[in-house]
Amino acid sequence: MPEIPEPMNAQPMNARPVTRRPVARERVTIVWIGLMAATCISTWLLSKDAVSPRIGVLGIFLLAAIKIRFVMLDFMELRDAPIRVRLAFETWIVVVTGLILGFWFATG
Amino acid sequence: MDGVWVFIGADAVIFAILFMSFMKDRLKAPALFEASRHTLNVNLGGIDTLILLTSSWLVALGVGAAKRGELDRVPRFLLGGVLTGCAFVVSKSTEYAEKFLAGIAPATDAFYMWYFTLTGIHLAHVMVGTSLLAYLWTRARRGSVTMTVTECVASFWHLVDLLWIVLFPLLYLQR
Repeated sequence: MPEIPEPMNAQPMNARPVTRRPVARERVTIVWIGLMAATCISTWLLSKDAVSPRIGVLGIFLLAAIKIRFVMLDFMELRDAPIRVRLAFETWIVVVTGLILGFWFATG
Repeated sequence: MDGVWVFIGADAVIFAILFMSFMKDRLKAPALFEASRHTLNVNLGGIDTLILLTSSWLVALGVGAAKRGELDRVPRFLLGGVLTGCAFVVSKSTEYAEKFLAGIAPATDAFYMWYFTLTGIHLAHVMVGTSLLAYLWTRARRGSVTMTVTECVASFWHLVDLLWIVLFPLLYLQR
């Protein structure tokens, strides 16, 4: 999330509207549709017995990692954050997904 | 704002440690964890995920509207975030009630100890987040909220969302 200059931070949000953007044209709306679709694929497709456990679990957690990245970059606005902050959060995704999958494959 | 990032980062690390502890225990008794997992309501878990994603989206729309000065839209988006947060609490309470009525409790087995611990801590986060959003909504209606406060609460709410994105497959979908 980019830092807002302090004078603007201190102001209450009572300025007059400048522009109005339709919700459908917002980037976060496109991201939200993608996240909803990915959730449906994980929940009602990849988790089914027709899909092999290896493919299913790998697909489910990789999709989860991609979903988290979009939540971080677009909803939390880390796309415009200082590189060290963005790197720390993106490392979290890689470590968590990698360890979960590592444990899963170790379980056999 | 830096303090909030430190808090969010620390919370994320604590959850990561809990996720790994769960996986370590699962490694010891995969058959038990799999048998208990089958008794969870996957459809409800999936719907919970859709609810939280929608909630995060509405709050992100609210922050975007505030940044552009479309202040009449901000309370509506925030109210959407509050209502979807409440919907998650209702859904999770229903799920807990189902489990308790079926005689399932944290003491049932190791899987259910983890299930109630992880979802319980997460539910506490949802309730705190929903309360903060409700506070923000009342302030936004009066036009007396600042961007910094709005962004701090929104970032916490997105953290709650992304933690559930890991928790759901970890408990409900992992075979």
